[in-house]
Amino acid sequence: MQVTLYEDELYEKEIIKEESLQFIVFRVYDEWYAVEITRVKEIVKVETITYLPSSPAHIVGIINLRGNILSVTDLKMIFGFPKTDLTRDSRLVVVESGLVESGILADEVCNVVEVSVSRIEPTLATIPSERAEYIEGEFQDNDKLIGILKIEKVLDKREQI
Amino acid sequence: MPDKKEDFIAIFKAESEDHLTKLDRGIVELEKNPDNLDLVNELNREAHTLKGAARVFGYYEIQEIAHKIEDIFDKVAKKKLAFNSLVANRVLKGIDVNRAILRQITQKDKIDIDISQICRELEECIYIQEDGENRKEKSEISYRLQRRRQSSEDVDPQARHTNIEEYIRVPLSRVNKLLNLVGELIINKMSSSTKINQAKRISGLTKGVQRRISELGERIKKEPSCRNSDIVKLLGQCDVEIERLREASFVLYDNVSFESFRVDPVIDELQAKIKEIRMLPLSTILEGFPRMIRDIALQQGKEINLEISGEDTELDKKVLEIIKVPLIHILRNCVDHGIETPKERERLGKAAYGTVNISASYETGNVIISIEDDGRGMDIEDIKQTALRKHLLSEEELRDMTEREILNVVFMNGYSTSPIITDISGRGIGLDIVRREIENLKGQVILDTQKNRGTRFTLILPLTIAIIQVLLVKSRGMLFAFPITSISEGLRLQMSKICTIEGRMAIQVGEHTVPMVRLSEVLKLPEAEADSDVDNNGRDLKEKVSVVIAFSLEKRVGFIVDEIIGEEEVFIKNLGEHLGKVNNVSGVSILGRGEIVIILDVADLIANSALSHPAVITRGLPHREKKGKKRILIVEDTLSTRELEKNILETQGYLVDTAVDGLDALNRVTQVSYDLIIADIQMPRMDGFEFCRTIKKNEKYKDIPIVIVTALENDDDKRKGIEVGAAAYIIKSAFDQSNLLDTVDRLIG
Repeated sequence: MQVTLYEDELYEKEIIKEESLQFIVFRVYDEWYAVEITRVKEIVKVETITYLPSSPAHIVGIINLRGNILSVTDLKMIFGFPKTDLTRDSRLVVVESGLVESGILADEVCNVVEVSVSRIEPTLATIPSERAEYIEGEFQDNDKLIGILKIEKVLDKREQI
Repeated sequence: MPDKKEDFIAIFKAESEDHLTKLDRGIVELEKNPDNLDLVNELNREAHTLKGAARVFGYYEIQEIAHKIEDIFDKVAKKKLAFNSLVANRVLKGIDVNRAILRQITQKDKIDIDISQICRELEECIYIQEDGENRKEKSEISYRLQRRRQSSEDVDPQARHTNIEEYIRVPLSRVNKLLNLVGELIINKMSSSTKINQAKRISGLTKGVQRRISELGERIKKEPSCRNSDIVKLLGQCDVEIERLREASFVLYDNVSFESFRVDPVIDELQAKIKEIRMLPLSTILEGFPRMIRDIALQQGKEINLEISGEDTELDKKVLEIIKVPLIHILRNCVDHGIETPKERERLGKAAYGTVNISASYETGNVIISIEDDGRGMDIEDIKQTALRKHLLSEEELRDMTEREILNVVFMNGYSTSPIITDISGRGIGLDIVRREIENLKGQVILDTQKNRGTRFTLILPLTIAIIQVLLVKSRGMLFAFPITSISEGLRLQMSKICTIEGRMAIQVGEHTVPMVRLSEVLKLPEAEADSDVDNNGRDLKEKVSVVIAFSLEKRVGFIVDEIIGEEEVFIKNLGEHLGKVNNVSGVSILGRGEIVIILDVADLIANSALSHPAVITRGLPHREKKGKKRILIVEDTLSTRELEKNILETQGYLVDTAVDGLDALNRVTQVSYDLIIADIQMPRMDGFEFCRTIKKNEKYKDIPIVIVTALENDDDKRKGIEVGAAAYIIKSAFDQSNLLDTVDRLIG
């Protein structure tokens, strides 16, 4: 009995040593991005997005989320990708930063990935600078290069109309 | 839940403000009626409570001043001191110092106000009078003391026994959450009414099917070849099942409608009650007014009696907050321009003291507040002259206007702005802002005036701003809503009625020519994909178009839409923190089917309709367009402020140079010509006043307007600023982007 207990303790300690973070991974056009799971409030399916006139280009509209108005941020507009239509796979990754909330439009939400901190690398120097300021770092998963989004920066974008 | 120190301080501040306001009010009253012993005692109690609370929180300064004030009331109560205007002024001054201290407590948690001066002044007013009068008073003291004790004993127990309602303090955010939830219920209520209709329709449809089947049955019975018993049997079964279906659908209809019959009134009631929670009496914002009127009147050597009635009228807290500044501005306007000096009044055969009357009442879902003075009234000729002088309107334009329209010119941007940025509002607000604020609330301002008889401002305000009446329209397949209060009419009209002048569209409505724009163009809506006959002139060929005529201030514009759907009452929601205020949008609402509708901001739309459509010229606009390459000099020794100001102005397309102090600035002024200078006061080498004075003395540069931006917040400095020739004065604490830009725009825009 005593031995098992001891082993258990050891096991737990090992987990704590190996510090890791969980990310929600999603696709935007043909690239993969991730948001740390603690920043994600929920993931919702999108049916209709109401166009909001006079708003910045990266705000593609607003939705009615159980009676509350939620803005929809389209990273494609920030990163300069072509616009895509909503499909059955489209989802909104609802993120928050302080009081500010928005739904990030994902063409597909992949899965939750656990990544040890050591695997996270600084942003590639080759990423164009207009995109680089929204990326915190990156990691490889199943041959995919995944960029970690800087949520504050994305939600802070207030761009000319 | 007050569990943090800040919460306690917030409560202390709220309570202290309450005491100070009551003192303010009471002192003004007491000055008029110095023998009111009950009032003296009441004020004494207020000062005492304030003192006690300050002691608990360790705010020695407040405690000390309150203590001195208490002493004064004590003496007044004992008839040892006459409550004359000297005493009143000093006590009021003491109250002001306490207010300043309170502000410091909440802003930086540190008090650096020196109170020895005010304490001395308060003490003095006791001894000055006492020296002369204490001898004859002495004999009466004991008697008066007795009387006072008696009267306070009479009053107090009574007060204790009256049935006082209990109160709790609830954060407004909680109430707002509830209100939001009720909004949800209302949306459900609306959708349940659609369900009732659906159920009714199903019931109707089954009835139709049933009839068809029985017809079919009859036919088959007549047809000899089809007298197959199987078919007849099947038909019979069908008939029975349809009957069941009909019954079931009827039950459904019955249930749904009964449910909403029971729930709807509950939801309505709930909504009304929650709205009521947010309602506060008008008196909550009026309390400081008697004091303010007294002070301004005194400054200008006028005598004014402020009468208030209907202060119990309740309005939404938000509405109250927003109308406070406009009300102050209107009142100031009455005192500054309306009421004449006592001499002049006597010459006109009026009572020496002028009367300003504020009254409030309910009227069909609205609150009406009227502010009326018995002063000199507004003169149509004067307004015309001012409008011409300030280039707001041309002579031709004025010629075509009715008296009422000319009167409304006072609400135009640039008409009445005062050069001093007042501490009350944080900006030099004019009547244009008053009107704009009230219209933002979906309210109205009406102005009436009679020469030498007086002026009356009537504000028509909604009880609450959460629910408004809108007109739903469609443009490029999207749904939008105009607030009913900013619409004069919705029309279907023949294309031929629209005339084009140099490419701009206009229609004749009554006597006016109203410019027209397409809503889709002002909002820059994307082309709808499904709809091919959208808007590239193809639309013009249609015989009839739908037009919504909207107005804001003195401007009216017709917006062409695809379709006018109809009126609806909606629950207005904001766009949330992420989006904040979006141009052209005042909020959104969710309709019964969960559909989002955008509620348009008509004032924005009208302003933008002129921009997006250069051919449409709205009044008052041409002289504001030539912004652009104006050059501004910023004189400021603090780097951060300097950069901030520079940044703000550059974003607006101004050319900006900077200087670090007055001497540096003088140097630059001789080298480059500037359209405007923005200067700080406290700077090394040469301060802002000195700089301003020097510039104004110089023939060559004296016409450059100077705006003083400073942390100094006292009237003396403000006066000094104006004396040395500053065109405007902005206080840093009230400093925000729009404030600075508005001021600059006003001066050289």
